[in-house]
Amino acid sequence: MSEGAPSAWPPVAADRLADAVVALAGRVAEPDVRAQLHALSGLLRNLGAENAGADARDSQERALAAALRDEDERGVLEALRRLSGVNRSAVVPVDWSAASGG
Amino acid sequence: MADGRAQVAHGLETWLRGRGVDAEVEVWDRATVGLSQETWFVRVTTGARVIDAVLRLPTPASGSRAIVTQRAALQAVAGSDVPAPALLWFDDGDGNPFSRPFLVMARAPGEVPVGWHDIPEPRRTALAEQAIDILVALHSVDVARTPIGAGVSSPLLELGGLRRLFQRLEPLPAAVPAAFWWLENHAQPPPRRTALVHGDYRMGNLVVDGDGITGVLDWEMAAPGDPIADVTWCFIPVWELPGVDEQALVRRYAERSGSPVEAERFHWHRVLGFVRLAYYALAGTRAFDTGRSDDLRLAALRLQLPVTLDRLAATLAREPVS
Repeated sequence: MSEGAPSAWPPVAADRLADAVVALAGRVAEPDVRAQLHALSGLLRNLGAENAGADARDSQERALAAALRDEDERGVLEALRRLSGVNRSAVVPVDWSAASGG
Repeated sequence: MADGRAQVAHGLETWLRGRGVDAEVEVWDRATVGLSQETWFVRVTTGARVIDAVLRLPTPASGSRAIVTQRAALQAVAGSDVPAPALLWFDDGDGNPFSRPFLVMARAPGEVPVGWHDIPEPRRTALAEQAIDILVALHSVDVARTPIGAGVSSPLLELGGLRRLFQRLEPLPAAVPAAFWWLENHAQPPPRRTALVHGDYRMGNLVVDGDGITGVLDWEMAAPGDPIADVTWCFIPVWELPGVDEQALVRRYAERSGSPVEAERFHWHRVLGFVRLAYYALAGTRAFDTGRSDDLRLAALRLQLPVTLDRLAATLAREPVS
């Protein structure tokens, strides 16, 4: 679908859904269900984020592969550090205390 | 009952009766622990005696060995300074109403915090020091003279075992093979001493009641091994950073155990620990994606993977983790 094309119905923002699920968790008595809802809110908040930074990731993965091929330890550790930074920056953190304890 | 409480209660009552124990068993809750073992909270009444206990059963994911190892570990530390739950009853075989091994242990009073960060200061530091002292006590148990002395280490605690486990999850994030490459290049010589290692010693497996640790749980990975593995794992950030003075706690361990903690060995085990955390995240994610579990917490573990791999990379670069 091209950007700006009319949609069949108004899209819902993942963040808005995530907030609503957290609010729902606050009204549930069962700790296990609350924990599941907090996990679900984390998933909603990060929907599609796994693709962020694809170009930078590709570049760092190639640098890492080259350093491994050359057995260049310093190069491996540096590429790994940059690659992990790209990947981590895409994630909105999950409230694991809530997702674990309910 | 839909969740199996009645069957569990009936099964334990039947088993106890077969051993001359006339008991009434009430199951009042079940812990939900993803792919781990089944954990049932039970109340066993025999005459005037009421025992609050925990019944554990293996799952296909954990395997029967998890229960048998736990049983052996609880026996190994009984009577020591390690506050482990008392083993009440067990059956290592499958000729019982559950058709699989099980154990029943006393319920330790208190709660299990999610992690060290969950506990405010100054309790956090006091409990962390207690945790170290308990580790010293655990590692002073003469493992060769215990039922677990001839046991083998869990694959999760060893480089080769972890590598085999990861192979089942391919394709892997690029960081994982790189970490294995580093770990193999920096493999450590055998430890100076072998101890009874818990294997999963961290706040999430400690019961806290007020200012004291009242129970060490989840002994299914216990085995003879390198005690440094437990020391590194104790404060590894499974979720949030622990917020404890790790250097001071490691010094405390070295002083009280009389065993120096070699910096390079510690560092190596810490790297291995982060690789293990990455395995948990990937395995949980895979369990959800393949439909083996509908637990949304396992689904969400994929979001912890980049965090864990970033901490792994920082550790390898000898930078502080965030």
